[in-house]
Amino acid sequence: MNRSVESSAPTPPPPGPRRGYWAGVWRQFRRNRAAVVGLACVMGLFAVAFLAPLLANRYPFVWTASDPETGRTVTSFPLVRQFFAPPEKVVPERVLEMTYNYLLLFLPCAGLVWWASSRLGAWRQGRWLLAPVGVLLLLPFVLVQPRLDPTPYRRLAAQDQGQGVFPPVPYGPFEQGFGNRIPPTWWDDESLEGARDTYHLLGTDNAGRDVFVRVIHGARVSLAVGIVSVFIATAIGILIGATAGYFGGCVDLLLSRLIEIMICFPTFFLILTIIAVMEQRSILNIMLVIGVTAWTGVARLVRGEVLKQRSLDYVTASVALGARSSRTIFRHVLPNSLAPVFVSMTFGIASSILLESGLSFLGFGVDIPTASWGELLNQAREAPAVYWWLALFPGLPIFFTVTIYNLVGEGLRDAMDPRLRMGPAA
Amino acid sequence: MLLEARHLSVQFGEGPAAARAVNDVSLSIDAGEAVGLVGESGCGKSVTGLSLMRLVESPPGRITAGEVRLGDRDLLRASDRELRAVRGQEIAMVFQEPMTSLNPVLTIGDQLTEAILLHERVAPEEAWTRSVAMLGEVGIPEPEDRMLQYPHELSGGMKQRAMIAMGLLCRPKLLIADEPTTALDVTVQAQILELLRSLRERYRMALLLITHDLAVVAETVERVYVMYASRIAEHARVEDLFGEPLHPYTRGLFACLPGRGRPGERLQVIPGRVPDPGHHPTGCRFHPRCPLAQEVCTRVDPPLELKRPERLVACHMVAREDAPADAAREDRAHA
Amino acid sequence: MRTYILTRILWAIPTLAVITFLCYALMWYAPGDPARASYLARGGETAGTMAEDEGLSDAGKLFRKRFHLDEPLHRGYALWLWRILSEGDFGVSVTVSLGTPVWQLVAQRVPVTLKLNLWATAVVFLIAVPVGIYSAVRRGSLLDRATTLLFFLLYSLPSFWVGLMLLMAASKFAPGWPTSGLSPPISGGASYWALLLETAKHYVLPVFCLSYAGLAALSRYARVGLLEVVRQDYIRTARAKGCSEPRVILKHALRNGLIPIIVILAGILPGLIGGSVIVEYLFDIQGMGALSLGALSSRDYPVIMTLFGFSAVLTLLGILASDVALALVDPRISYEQKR
Repeated sequence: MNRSVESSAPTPPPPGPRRGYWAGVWRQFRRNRAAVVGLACVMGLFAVAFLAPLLANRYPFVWTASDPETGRTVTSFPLVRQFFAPPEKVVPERVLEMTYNYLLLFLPCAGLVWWASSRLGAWRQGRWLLAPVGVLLLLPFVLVQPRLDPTPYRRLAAQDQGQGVFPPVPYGPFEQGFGNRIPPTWWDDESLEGARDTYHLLGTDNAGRDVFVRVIHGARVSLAVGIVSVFIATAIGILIGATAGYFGGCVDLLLSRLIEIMICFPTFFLILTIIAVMEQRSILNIMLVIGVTAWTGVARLVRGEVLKQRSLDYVTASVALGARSSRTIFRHVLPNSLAPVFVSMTFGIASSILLESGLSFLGFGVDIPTASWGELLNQAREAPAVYWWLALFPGLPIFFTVTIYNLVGEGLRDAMDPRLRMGPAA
Repeated sequence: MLLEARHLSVQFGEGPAAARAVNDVSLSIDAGEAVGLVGESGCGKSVTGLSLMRLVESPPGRITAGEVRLGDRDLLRASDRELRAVRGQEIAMVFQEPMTSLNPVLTIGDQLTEAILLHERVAPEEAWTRSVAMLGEVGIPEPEDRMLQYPHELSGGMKQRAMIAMGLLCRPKLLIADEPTTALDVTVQAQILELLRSLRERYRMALLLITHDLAVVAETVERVYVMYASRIAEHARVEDLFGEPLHPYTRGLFACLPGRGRPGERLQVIPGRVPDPGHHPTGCRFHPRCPLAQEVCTRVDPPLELKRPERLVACHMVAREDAPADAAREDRAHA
Repeated sequence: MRTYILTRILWAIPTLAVITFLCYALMWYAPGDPARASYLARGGETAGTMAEDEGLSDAGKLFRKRFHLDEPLHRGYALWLWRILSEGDFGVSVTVSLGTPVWQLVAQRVPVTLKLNLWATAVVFLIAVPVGIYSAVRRGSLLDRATTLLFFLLYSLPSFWVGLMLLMAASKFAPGWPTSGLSPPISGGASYWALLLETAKHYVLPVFCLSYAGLAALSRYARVGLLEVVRQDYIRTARAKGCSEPRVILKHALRNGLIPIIVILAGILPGLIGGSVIVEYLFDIQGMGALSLGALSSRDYPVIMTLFGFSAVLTLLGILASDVALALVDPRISYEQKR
């Protein structure tokens, strides 16, 4: 009985090499428990940042009170109004808040559309729903006018002059008046006489604002700065690195010199200097400055990868078919060169967040009154032992965030390492 | 008998996914003799060579069974110190990739004299002179200058010669050459083989030549072991093997050689592929690709038996042609 | 080799020119009047950039003249550069220490920062390299895994937080421990050793803050580099020759594995002067970092420019030193080969 040859030959590889590659990376990533935990924590952090105004806000979701004039019961939704029209005065900060709030609504809707249409097998048609849904959700953000609502809902509720459903932490990030630099309420401190009527989990800062609320809202700032600045840096880096690597010759020489010059600038000092001479210290400027100074690593990485790819045959084939350089680069070379860039982006987010906190700590970061973890730490500087809650608690989220991003970055890097994925050498 | 390896087994990895790269391999080399170990990539021949001196990278590799007798010592159970004394001094090894087998940050001279100074108590100057002389012997021009150069300044062929020189400095009794010519140009290949031959003559050195190239083996060795999928398939004197290959695999190899058939004929191939080290077929490893395979071949792994005088073959389909009494005795001797 | 160094130095010159030019241009376009600058000013008080004349105080006008801001940009740059190169005149501080020549300020502060950073660098290398080697050689051991975890966590800690916590802990648990400055107040009658001990105590916290992150990164680098090397073919050759394991590691593996470390060492140079801003801010150390912070907060342009140019030059030198060091250590790199 002659067994057929095919039975001992290995099965052919699955089709679509690029899809197979990322599926393989994900499979390998999943095996690294620490990295998976890190990824889950990253999602948790995103959840906190997105849900911030729903978690900590001085305005209740729903408020029912009787109108003193007419005597009728009126129901209002104060938080909803603030949600669609955040009261921040500075434009970039307001745009940031609105973007977060918008995404909080849009992403689940998009997810729902995707899930429903895949279920029905009609993803191609379902896709077209996304645009109108997106526009629809945009309407309230455009139409609702921002209005500062000074109604002291909490006090009214305490005095039984109305009922409302408050967020879990019923204080606002800019709400002052709780007493300057008071330690957490659960801390037994004989120096403070009398009962404090408001509960502050992490105490108050130097302007009498609740620290816990500022920590939660600080997540929005840190995350936004981290991600946007890394995107800027990566975009610039890919542009310059790919151009230098692909075209070689004079272009490479010039661009490499440019990269070298950029590296020569002492980054931290450069950032400090630019921020010092800038007129406005909005969050957008911070993102830009960090992004514009951090692209050199990515550029070198991409340049190296593109150089490697350029000598491969598929590039020659593409050129021989008459494709323009840009097409060859974008469709063929770049997708194959970008794997390590994702790792660098993850680590970049971690270091960007560290950088932003450091800048805020030194007073060169986001402007008051925007909440930032670093800025809270700065308040503890005069007497760390006395203002210990300001020295301890705001640092924890920074540490936590950087750790989880580093974990994910390492997991990603190990998952993409071909040597670790292959079995023992024959 | 200079070196005798018996029932050597090496596996990589642990547990159910472990790959047995070498399975019950036995070979022997006499003093001054040249023996070839032939097989395709992945059959385990390099690992066999490495395991003779316990050079297998462990983890992930592990020698699970067998013994390697050099004189009255078992190298697999010797102490580290004993083993170090053997390495480089009694047995030397030359590797496949001359490009990466020399340390790039040390000069040739440094690496060569180290080979001497590790084993003999001589003055550095003497080590230097001997190294220069040896470089000259292996055919490297201007050896004194070369001693001061770094590996990247030498061509592939010269690097390989330098490696051979390094191996021979302590006059070892056995030189294991793992694919010494594979990474080199064809013309250089011939030179290296000729070099090995003349050095063997001069120093009466035994040689274990590990290669996938039958032509190389024909020129250089006296006896041949053919390996397939981690086992020895056939063992014979080189004339016997080339004159009449017995194992179906060996016959297939010879049939594949271009030039054997008539002009215009299609080249022959052995159908199928070499099995993965982790996934050997049951029974005879070769049966999925064998034109002679029968039912017994799928169940029982054929033992390596004496089928002709001085010829061992591991195949159910090769009949024994010998006086039974002699066969039984030789069988026991080789078991 | 000499040609290689020369070529690198020649390439450095245009880079230097571009850097100093950008430095000068930054000041040109910067808004605000330094003579009226207030702490953490944001430049909203005076309209227009430095290069324009309206609304400037007299001191501001003098400043403009001194830095040739009334000339076209390229001329101003040339004149400014010439003055530095020919007379070594970096200008006079405007807000940090009114009237003091910048050079004097810098010279005062450099030794302080230098001492701090040199100690931190020494700590980093002396601990990280052996730990990295040990981790590579004894891969997977308990100690290796423990240190890997520890260093991973250390690497993620923000230095300003660690500093604050250390200060907090010091106040609570070691009330007498010095937490500011680098030298104890001189009191007559204290013995030499007592003084030395006190000074050492001053250094402990800042040096720790500066070094722990580098420790984590470098030992990781050493470990990975060495692991790579140990996998190479020439290590197998060394073993086949009969080298003992210690010899294999120390002679064959280390020289290859430490090549990237040497590159880093040379790159430490710029950090020696400017890398300790946060630590100096936290621990009240009057070094270059504190000077930069003060100058930046109050828009003391002469100081800013000098410090900036200084840092950039040092970074350039650091890169040059690391390239030369690499070429010296790795014989494969010659002036002919491209990196």
